[in-house]
Amino acid sequence: MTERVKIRQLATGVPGLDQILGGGMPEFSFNVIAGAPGAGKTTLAQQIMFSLASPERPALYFTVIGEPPLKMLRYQQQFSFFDVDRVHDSIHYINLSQDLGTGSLEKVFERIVTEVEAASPGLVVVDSFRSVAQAAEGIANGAIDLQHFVQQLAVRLASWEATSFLVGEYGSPESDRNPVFTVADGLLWLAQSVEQNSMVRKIQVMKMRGQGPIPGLHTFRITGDGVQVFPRVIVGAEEKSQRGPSGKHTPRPRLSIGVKALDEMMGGGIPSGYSLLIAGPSGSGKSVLASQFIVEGARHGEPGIIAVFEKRPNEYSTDGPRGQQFDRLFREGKLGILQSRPLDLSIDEMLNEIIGEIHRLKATRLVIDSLSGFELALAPTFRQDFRESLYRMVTVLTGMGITMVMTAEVEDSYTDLRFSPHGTAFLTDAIIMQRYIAFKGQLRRIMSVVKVRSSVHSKELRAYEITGDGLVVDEVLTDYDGLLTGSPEFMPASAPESREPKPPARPRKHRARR
Amino acid sequence: MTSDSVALASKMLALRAGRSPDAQALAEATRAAYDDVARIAASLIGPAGVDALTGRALHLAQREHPCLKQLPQPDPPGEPFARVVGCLQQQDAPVAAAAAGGLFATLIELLVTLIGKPLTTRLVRQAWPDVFADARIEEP
Repeated sequence: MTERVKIRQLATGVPGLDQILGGGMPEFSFNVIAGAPGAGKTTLAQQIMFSLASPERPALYFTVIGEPPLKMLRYQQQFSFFDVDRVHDSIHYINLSQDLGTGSLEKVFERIVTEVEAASPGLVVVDSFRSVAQAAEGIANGAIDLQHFVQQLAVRLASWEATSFLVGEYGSPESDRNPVFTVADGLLWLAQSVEQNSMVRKIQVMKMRGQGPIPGLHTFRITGDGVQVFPRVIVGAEEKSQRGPSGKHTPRPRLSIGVKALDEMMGGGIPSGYSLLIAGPSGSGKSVLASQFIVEGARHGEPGIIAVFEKRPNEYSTDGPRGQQFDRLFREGKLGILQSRPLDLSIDEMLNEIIGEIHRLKATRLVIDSLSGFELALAPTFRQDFRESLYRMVTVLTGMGITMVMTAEVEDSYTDLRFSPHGTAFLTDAIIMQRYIAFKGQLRRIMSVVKVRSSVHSKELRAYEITGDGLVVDEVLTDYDGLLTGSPEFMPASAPESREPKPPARPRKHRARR
Repeated sequence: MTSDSVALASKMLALRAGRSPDAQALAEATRAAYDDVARIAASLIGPAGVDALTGRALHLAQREHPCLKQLPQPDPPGEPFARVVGCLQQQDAPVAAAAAGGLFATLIELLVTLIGKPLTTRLVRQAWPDVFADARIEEP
């Protein structure tokens, strides 16, 4: 017989966990959920148990010393997954403290085996197994006995076709030579770290025999619905090929940004799958332009998402200038607005939320408003490598074929040219710069297309206005020099260099203020 | 104490001790009923949890039923409830019935407070199925 044994993968019911496990929990595996106190071990075990237990294949939850069962039941009921009607039906709690109190691992083993043989469970949890290990330390030949106990238990539980979890408090995987780690088929490590005022929880699949988990640390959050894991999104995993059927790269179609003159300045619109950075000072109209990009997409049947990372700008609010339009698009399923949970976000949490929304709406356009707010929304530990986070986000999302617009607030400087306070401009495919200048006794706005990767684009500096209909591009300020110094000089009859077609210029009667 | 939990405890004792029981019969019914509920509760909250809740329920019930303060000394080893049974045996039947009912009602309400009504209901139903055979009985 050449057919290999097939290991069925069980859906754990924990959002994101199956993905990092490599497809689910291997059936009949013997696993350890380890971590420091308060890391979420019991919650994770209970959530998996409530998902997998059935009257035909019930779950046995052995409680030992550790968290008193009375309190565990009290607190676990706060989670939505805890279904009281299933207790004593498909879920049975069994207390082992008296068996352990005898100091005999043999007695504990016998009790577990008796209960397993009586109930024929599909799932077995021992919480906390650390208490069992500590009891073994107090007896002669404890280490040998514990190793023997764990091996026997693993074999017996697998033989009875039970998938099992030992829950235990352990400081770090390296510091413990507990034989349970060797015997276990799977090892899930939970950790939490506090930095400044934020707390970040992480989970790592350190071992999962028979399948390939996603390596590294993944963030997770515990809410009223239990644990939600945010798998580390790996660059390339979500990538959509830009190759056509012949295997050759196909030219990217151009998308309108919603401002015709600006599309022309960009060489025909923004190439699909590109990331565009709109950099400018406060009030320069970055959000206005971003919202026009989204509305224009919806007009062409391309749903969009706006991820707002700061106090919701007026531009996106229901009573804002496009409030009714956004409201309609939202109801029609053409627009999704994601509001950040500030200060303790992980990049993967946000990415997973965006990707989920992209799949839900079949969105092709995305706005991140703004990068500064995004950075602030991240937990301090993730701000330290913001550029890496941003790189990963941009690469993953554009790899999926999403065309994204990001805004960055940059203070006007008339001595140097900066496009982002994060040094991240190089990560984007295209840049639009917005600035204020003093012009004919007025504070005017000008913009320019700084780059569009692999594409010709206008080099003009164009004045623009923000009107009730959005951003309107005005004249090319060709007869003025030193615009970026903030105080342009009138230079009539400038050199006859090649120019892009320009709209009719306003009559210029006055010299620019020097 | 709610009227539901008192009614439930009284009904259970009436069913188990029989009509017009004497203090001895009430005490025996109380012991059996406690053993049933303690066994089921221990599987959920552990023997230590049951002992702690029993102690607290006794403390609270003593306020309304001073007779429960007349506990014989010392407590027999391994039988934490034996003193209560001994105490009930020494009372007049109506006093013993009221005290035992009050003690069970308090214990049930403590469970409701700590682990919630649905779980307590399941637990009590499992411990005293005979009481719930009568559909007119209200849950705690």
